[in-house]
Amino acid sequence: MCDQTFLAITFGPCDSCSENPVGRQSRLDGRSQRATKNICSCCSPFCPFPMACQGLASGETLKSLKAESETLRKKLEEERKKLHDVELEKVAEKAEALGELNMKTRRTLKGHGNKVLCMDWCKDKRRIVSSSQDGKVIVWDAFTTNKEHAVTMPTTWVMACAYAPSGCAIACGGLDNKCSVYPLSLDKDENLAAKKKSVAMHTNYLSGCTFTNSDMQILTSSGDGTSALWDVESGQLLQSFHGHSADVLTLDLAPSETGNTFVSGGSDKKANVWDLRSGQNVQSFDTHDSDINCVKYYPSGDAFASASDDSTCRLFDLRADREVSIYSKDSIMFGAASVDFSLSGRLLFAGYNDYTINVWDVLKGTRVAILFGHENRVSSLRVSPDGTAFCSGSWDNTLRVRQEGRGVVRELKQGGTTPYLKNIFLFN
Amino acid sequence: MARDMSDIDILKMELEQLKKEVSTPREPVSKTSKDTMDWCEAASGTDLLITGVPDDKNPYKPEKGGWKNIMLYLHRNTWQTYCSYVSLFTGLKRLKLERKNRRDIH
Repeated sequence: MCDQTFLAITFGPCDSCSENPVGRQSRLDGRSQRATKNICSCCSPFCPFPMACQGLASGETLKSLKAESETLRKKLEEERKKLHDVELEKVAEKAEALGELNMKTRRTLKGHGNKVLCMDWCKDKRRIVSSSQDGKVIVWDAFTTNKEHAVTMPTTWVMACAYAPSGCAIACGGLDNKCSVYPLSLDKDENLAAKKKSVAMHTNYLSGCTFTNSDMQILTSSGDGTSALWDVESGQLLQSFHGHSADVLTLDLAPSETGNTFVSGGSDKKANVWDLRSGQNVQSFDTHDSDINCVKYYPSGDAFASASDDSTCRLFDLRADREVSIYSKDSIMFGAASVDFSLSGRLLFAGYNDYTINVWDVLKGTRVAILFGHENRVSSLRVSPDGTAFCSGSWDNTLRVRQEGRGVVRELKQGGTTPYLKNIFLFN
Repeated sequence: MARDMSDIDILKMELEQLKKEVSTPREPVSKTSKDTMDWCEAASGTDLLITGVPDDKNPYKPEKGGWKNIMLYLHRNTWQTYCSYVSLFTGLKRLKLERKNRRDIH
């Protein structure tokens, strides 16, 4: 590879380097300073005929590429603008206003020794798997708060965990760069770690994993900028998805009725929609101002929401190919780490780094409620498969299962005496 | 792998992608938002996070009459009654003072 002279950085590798790769030599030869040559210092012994004009040509390529991509981007923006004839909020004015929401914490799952990084519900609407920074992955029964299984991973920072659709296995991974699948057995004394199967192999940390419609395939996303589809049984790579220019932080599979696509979001501020079969990037959205921490499909499959470090959540419509709504407030200054829709898609729950959960009205774009209770940032949030409750995992080592509660008094769990004083005025 | 790619390769990748995207079919926002809204309205009747779950079908139903709940209820109620008495008392005192002041002035 070329040495890192100014020329090499600006104009890219010289022609000789790409043909005859040489080991790294940091000789700063006097010859490399001349602008007319296109060969770096380590190539000069191999190229007897310095080509004076080609230095300009390689510089041109970079500039021309940039210019071309700019024009294409502008054209894309124009095409998208043409179809932006009305705002979602305007269309939603006809919709009924939501009544007052009263979310109550029904269960607090305590047992993790460190920050809870990720959680997932089982399809039986009852079990939850959660993973934490200390390497522990615990399977809970949300109704009784019992811990059913606990696995200690050989790595810390288990950033992704998923429950298999059948409920018989869990997948998790993190800094170990791979995704491990553990079959869950009914026998509580059995050592789960013994039956572990390593499925995915990435070159950087695993940021997200999810099973596809069956137990047999896993979709993973990684800090190396790629997502991949793996076969669980053989551990083989079935399809890989390249397109992000930075870490891929999150992914979500489309709801089964609509087909074989998934959306991924990354540190390059882009959210890409991929086709599972062909590996092609079908659509791309880059209106966020910072890393996208979480993406979730709308229940109908025609849109998706994203949560980002720029403290906004946005709704992107796939058929109109543009962003249709932003959920933000000036008072919210902390990034959003996680989002999920309620079953009908009317409510958007978003967990933020300022320890709160904001509930947004998807259609009208307004905030419906703020939920307090966690003592550290909310790292993950999922609505249960039947929509009766949602669970939020936080860096305060707990998970909270919340539900829409009946009752006149609103519980603002911030601690101290103020909630009781407020109750006097609200109580009727 | 994205980290190992040079800037030129990243640009080339983005350019390829943009070329594909310019030609994707799109629908106007008025139509798609209306469809989204209709879908949402149709499903909102079954959304338990909006309507709430009736107690008899709620697996998370808080138990009534557990000793924790009784203590919480009593605690909350005594504090509330105390506060309401305090506010009543201070209100009455203020009224008395005002009446006294008015009598003194006149």
